[in-house]
Amino acid sequence: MQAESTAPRPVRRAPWAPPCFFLGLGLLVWGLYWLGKPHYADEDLRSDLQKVRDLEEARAVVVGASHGKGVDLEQLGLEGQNLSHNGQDLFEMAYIARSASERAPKLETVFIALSYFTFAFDNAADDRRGVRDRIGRRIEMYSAFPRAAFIPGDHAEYAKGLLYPVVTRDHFRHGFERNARRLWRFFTGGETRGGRRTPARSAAAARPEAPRAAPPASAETPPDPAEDEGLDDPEPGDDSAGGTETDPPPSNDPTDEPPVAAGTKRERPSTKAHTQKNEAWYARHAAGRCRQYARLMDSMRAHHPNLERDTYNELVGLVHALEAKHISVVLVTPPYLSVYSACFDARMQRITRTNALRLTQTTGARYVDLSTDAAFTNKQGFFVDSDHLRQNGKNVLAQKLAQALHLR
Amino acid sequence: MLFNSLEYLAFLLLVAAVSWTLPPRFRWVWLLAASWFFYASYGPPYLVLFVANTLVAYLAGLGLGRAQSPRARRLIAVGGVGVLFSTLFVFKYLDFCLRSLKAVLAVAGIRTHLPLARLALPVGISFYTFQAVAYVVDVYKRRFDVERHPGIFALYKAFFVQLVAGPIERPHRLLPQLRAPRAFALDRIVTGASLVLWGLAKKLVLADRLALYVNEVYGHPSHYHGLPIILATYLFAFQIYCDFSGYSDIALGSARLLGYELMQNFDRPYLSCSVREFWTRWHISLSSWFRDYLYIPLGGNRVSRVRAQLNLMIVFLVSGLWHGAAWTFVAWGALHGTYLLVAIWTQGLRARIASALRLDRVPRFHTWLQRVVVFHLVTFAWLFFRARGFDDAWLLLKRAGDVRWSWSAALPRGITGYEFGVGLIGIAALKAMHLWQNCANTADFLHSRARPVRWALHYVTVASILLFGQFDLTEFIYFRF
Repeated sequence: MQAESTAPRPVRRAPWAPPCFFLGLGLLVWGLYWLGKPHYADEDLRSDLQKVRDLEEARAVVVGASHGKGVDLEQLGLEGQNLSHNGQDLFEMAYIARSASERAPKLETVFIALSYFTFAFDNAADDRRGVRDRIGRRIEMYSAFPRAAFIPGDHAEYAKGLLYPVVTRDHFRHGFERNARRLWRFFTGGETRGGRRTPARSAAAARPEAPRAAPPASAETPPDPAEDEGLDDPEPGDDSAGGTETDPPPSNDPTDEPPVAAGTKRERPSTKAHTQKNEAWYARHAAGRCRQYARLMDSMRAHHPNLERDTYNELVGLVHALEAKHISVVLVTPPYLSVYSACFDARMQRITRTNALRLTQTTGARYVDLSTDAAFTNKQGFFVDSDHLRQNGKNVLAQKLAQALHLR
Repeated sequence: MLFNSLEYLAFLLLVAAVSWTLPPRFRWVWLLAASWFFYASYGPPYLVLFVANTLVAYLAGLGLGRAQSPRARRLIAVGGVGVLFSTLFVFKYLDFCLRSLKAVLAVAGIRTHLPLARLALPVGISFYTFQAVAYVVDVYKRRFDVERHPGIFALYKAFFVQLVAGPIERPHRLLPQLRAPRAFALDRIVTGASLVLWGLAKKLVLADRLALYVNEVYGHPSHYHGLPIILATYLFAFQIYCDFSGYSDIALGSARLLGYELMQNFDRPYLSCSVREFWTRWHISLSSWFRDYLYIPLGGNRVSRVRAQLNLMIVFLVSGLWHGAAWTFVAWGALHGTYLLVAIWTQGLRARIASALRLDRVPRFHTWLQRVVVFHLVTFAWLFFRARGFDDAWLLLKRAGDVRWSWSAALPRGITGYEFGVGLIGIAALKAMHLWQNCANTADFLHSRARPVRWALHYVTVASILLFGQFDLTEFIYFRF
């Protein structure tokens, strides 16, 4: 027996119906945007959008992973924006740099921070038992830096990025939870424990891959979606997380810098916990990071054959594209504590340096390698943890860069 | 170019817009070019094979039209069908047969080295081969006139909305529509768009979400036991339904946007009261193909009782094999064949039990009981369909018995309660819709509702796609067949 399809029954049409339907659709999307924006257009995204608006006057930009945040353009005397992001891979760097070069008519220099892992990193290729844990971060990237192009294979994230925060990586979970609580408060007039979150915590909590800091301080704080993504990254290894001698080894998502608001110049308060950081603490931190990077790089290599070749080609393409626009490129490997360099995959360190030097020979790019600079390697006071600079360290890095590039 | 991709939506809108602006007599040129382009997007070499397949069917049809003697006609028909099936055999079943032969010889103690062809399976080869065979057989049986226009015939074979995963359109349904395109009708466009939307919701919101759970459990059968395996099997029942019926809805909707009507491929199969009824509601174009081109030619039920039952089993074994070149698919088909045979054998007994339990006094309860039993039988068979091999299927069956009733144990790695809950709510909404609608086609049903109801449901569908859709661009399950 065959179910024959029936032709649609004619329905009385009204000329006003189609415009009204699409108006309703528009209202629906707007409503979702309105409901989702407070939870998803977080501090990071707003900061990125502001940076994109300010690119008009920028003469320099920095791209790279969290290590790139060590390059302080203000200290270098350059007007520009630091567009580094935690865990940024080379494909994302190239995308953001290209986006910046299209929006910054006065752009003269692009600093590209090459971390040890940069040439073996592809956030789209991290796959843990069928779940691509890190691809979601590209949604925010496409949202903050929209271009008429996307990284090959990123159709879905690109589409989501354009619709963000109507479409989110956690399927509106936080939006529902937060709005349900707001609705509850509206009807009951009740207060939640702990009051409102601070913006910084809000940003960290709303960002699913934010490092898992202290347990939620209030009932209003949504659970960290990192848990949803099955991340078993170690906990934060920054000042805010404690880091006392008795604490467990500091360990967060290795690609995430401690949650310091972008662009802040303040020294971290010298807390008791901070003063108790010692050599052993930094060594444990470095070991945790190296272990996590090794796992990530292995996973990414497994799911992206020829990853090291592709990342290098991507970098070459980016340098050529920027030079075609008369924008000079500076490759920087930022300073690390010696314990970090000692435990990181030596082969990757060699590849990073070899690739960067090869690029300086074939293009006009310059390379400044401060990863083993004696001015930093054993100065724990310059570092928040084993691989991220504190502001005084950033100041010294700026001096070193200025000397190397003859900026002053 | 997947149906659930933005490229496809852009492609469909462009093809529809240009198609409607062209004079009807030239429309086939544009649609054929678009269809070949669509198929070439899966790999240009596939297109060569596809065009060759089209040519064989076309020439066989022409030959049948000219030949007068029954012997010549039979020769042409057998030759045409033979070439079509042998191509399918080489690309889909050759390695399977060689591997099976090797295994049999190994059991007999004979060690051989049989080189495998390792040919890539062309997308949709099972579908378009069956469509071509249907045409040749229909022309041979004089059920349908020969299509002499090569362009129209090529379009019948290549029409992109049904090319890669059906519905397997019969010549008498589609060819007349292609010869004389219909006039523009807004209602058809509206219901077409509605069907596409509904199909996308099934695929993106339900099928792809449930796939996360199912893939994790079936991908690592040794890591789980009890509840996750049972739940994954139930969820797979809905995943495969939403995946394939979602695809079919998009195909039907796309065809309507172009002014054509394809056959309904699904009619709420999980509301079936018997396995026999299930097969009149599931993949209707394939089951009716097997009925018309295999079961009836074998003698159907107009032969002895034993022979009719044997015919039934043959049809289901071949149907299983059609789905994939693996013994698990054959087992799946055999299981369904067995269900049907047992249903025939126990017909009287079941009627007596129902009468003894006074189920005839509560017909609604009786109907629901039958539905529940049929659903569970079908779901059990899906385990063999989804498992990667007999080893996995056996392991899953063994481990499924070790149930630990805890909520946390029910969630496999990487799946949150939230995601799982959204999936369950989606299934509940789908079932509610199926119970509410009184016809096979959801869009036609919605179209007959009051405007506020219709709009509200469309808005809910759009919102659910935006909020809960998995946009990871996963392939439709039936693409691999």
